[in-house]
Amino acid sequence: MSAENDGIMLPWAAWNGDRELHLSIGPGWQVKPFPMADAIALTDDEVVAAIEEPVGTKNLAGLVADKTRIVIAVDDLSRPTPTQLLLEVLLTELDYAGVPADAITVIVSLGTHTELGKAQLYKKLGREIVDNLRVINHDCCENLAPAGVMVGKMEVLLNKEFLEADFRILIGSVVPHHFAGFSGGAKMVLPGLSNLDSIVWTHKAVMMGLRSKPGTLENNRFRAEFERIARHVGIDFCLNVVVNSQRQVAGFFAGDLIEAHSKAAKFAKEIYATEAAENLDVAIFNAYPKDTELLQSENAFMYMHTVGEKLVRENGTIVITAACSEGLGKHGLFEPGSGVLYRKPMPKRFLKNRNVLFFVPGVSEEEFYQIYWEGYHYAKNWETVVDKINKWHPGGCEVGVFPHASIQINV
Amino acid sequence: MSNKELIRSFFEPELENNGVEDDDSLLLAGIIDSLKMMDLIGYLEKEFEVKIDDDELMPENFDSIDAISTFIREKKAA
Repeated sequence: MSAENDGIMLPWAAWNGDRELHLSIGPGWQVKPFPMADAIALTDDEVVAAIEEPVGTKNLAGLVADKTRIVIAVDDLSRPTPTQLLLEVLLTELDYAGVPADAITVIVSLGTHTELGKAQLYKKLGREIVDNLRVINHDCCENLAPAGVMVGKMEVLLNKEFLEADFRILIGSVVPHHFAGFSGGAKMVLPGLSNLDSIVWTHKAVMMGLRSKPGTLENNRFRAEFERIARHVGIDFCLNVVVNSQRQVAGFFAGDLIEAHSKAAKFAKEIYATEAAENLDVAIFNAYPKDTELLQSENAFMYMHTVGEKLVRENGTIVITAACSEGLGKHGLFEPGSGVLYRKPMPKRFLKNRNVLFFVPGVSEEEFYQIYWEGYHYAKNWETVVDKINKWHPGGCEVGVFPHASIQINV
Repeated sequence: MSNKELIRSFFEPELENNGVEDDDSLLLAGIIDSLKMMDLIGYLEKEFEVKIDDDELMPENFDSIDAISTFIREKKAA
């Protein structure tokens, strides 16, 4: 991201071109970028070395000897994980270890998200893998079996094929998360591969504020719950990716479910760290790399959640920018009309006394107001954003720009 | 006042304004969110002289007037 006198550059459209978007600014805007600390991408050799020298487990070849049913859980397009690259490296290692391709099943750990079609699977996993391996989408209502473990007062059901495998691998990215501290690791099992009721439980807890601070694993009882459940089920190998500002692999930690994930989270905390901002006139929160759909755009408040309301002054302006290349998106819990946890859009308390404006060119105004409160402003064109900010701040304004706000933290 | 009345009084007038019954989900009715939840815990601890532990902070204990009332009754009886 750069901020010059002639405009702002934002990373844009994850999984749909991953390009830079140039945006104009108004007269009297003093633009100040707040980038994440960031890191350079690993070389291919470094990625391979991370698998060959795992954290807290034996090497993969030793672990998979004599295993006949191997499942690999991966995340979907709402997450930035460059899964194809990692899966190719992993499959090479499994091949060296003598595992035949027909012993492997890839399961997309969807939670209640909508299943990936072939075109989306090609984006996420690559054509060769999709065409030559068995790849299935998790369904939170079918093909489930008791996991023999409770969450709250109910028994967790998990994907049956995942449970029946004799070797279980997870591949996920480790980015700040609203209630799990960081994504990835055990969270891919619950809620990722579990039944609807268990997923509802976790989301209700979050909506009630029964959560920990994003960007920290310490004293995080949700993370501890997820790890307890995943340990009970048995995870044999966990691949944790930390992506940089360009969605490249900047950190890769393979091995034990908890030990390798903790190392990844520590690295993630360093590279997503962002200078503290306070009392801005205008803050622009860009949702990249979680900008694929409107239902995920609320992730753009991640940085603000770690700083608090003081970030933007009273009567200041908050702008959310998200490409929404996949449109409104689908989330079984929050889908307008049918979602179990869908509620009529309401104002968010942490945004009170601020102008709130969404630049979401991938969705219509009608779609936008199915999700967000009528008092928030919708903009299909950037010119509308500039006009409104100029009108609300006629004497000029200090504009803080957070190019990766969905993963940036100040902790 | 009964326990339920004391609990309802914390949420009024929102319950009455929204026609929320004792067994309705407070979450789905938009009555409870993260900030309200923090206030609720403080209110319950003070009003009912109980100590609510972290591992009791689960949705099934707080998602309706009935659930809260049952939770408090069981806490008091323990």
